[in-house]
Amino acid sequence: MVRFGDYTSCIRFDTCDDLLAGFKSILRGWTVDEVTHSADAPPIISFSRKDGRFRWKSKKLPHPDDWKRKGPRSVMDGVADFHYRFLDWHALEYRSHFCLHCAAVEVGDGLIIFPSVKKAGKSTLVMEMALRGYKVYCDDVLPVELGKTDGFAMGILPRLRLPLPKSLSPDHLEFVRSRMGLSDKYAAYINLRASELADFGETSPIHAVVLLGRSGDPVPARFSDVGKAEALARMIDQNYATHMSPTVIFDEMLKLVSNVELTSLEFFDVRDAADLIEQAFGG
Amino acid sequence: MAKMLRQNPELEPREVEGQIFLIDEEGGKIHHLNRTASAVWRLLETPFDQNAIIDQFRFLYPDEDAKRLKKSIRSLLRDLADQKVLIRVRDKKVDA
Repeated sequence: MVRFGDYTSCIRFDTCDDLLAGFKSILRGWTVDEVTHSADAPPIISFSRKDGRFRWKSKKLPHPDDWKRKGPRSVMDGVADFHYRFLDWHALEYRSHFCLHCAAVEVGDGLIIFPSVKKAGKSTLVMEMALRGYKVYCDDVLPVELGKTDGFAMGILPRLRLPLPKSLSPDHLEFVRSRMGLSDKYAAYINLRASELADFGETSPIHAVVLLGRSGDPVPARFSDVGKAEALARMIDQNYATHMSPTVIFDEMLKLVSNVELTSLEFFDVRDAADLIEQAFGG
Repeated sequence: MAKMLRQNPELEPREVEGQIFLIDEEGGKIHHLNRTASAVWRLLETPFDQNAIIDQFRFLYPDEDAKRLKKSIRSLLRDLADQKVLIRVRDKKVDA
């Protein structure tokens, strides 16, 4: 049985040490300890291996969709699938947290968050900000404590789809390539250094919500005004499973967008976008 | 009996800057309505027949192509009903 951080429940890894090593490799700021099995505290998930494939058994966390018929063979697939359930697990352990589906980077003395939209360039921008020395809080999900506007770092490495776009600068490509962690030909975890990624449990106040829009034309990056309703609409993700009441989530998100700066950022070149963010929020 | 549509009373509406968000406590969802869907929602505070809804939009948007408008409103109503934002009711008065 393995305990992760201060979570009360544990995970059993039965004949799959490689999967455990894979999980450990994507976590930062976590203590991961082997603990003695306790009969009154069953594992939240039991991983095992049969016929070369990982198997998932849990009463509280449903297996990832892809595991319905057959679990994956590769550690990368197993880790990536569990990564998403890990966030559901966090929601069970930290019941006072609601989760925003976004990327977050600390700029100046607070977080700039980028709500998730497909193909908006969020992951590339996050990596460009890391290259410039800003601390990444997450590239996917940011827990926030109820009643507060502080983001809570999960300490999970960002994951990029491969191949990387050819349009990226040589500096950016070198930065990413020199930090490749667990990967396959489709995706890679980026092994950000200690100063580049917030450890699990670090918190920072959210200062701004920036809605990203990637332009297909080579336009200069520019900010535009965004209202509370538009920001709220983008932040509401109906697919993100949570134990929390949607009324509570709505009220918290409304409070958040009422108290932070809101803007949209249209860009073509990720370097222009990063320049603007630095100028606007870098202090 | 004619098919009527109305707001799903189980959803709790919240208005932010004129845009409507509907909270589905039981289903664990929050719906965001765009401008047209918000107009439909407001209209259906009392039950309306689908054709009457389309007539209302024709009146509001006289410059729009009538066929296209009808098609898009029908499609919107179907989507909203599928998402249980609107529910179908039967009105005996209409048939009387």
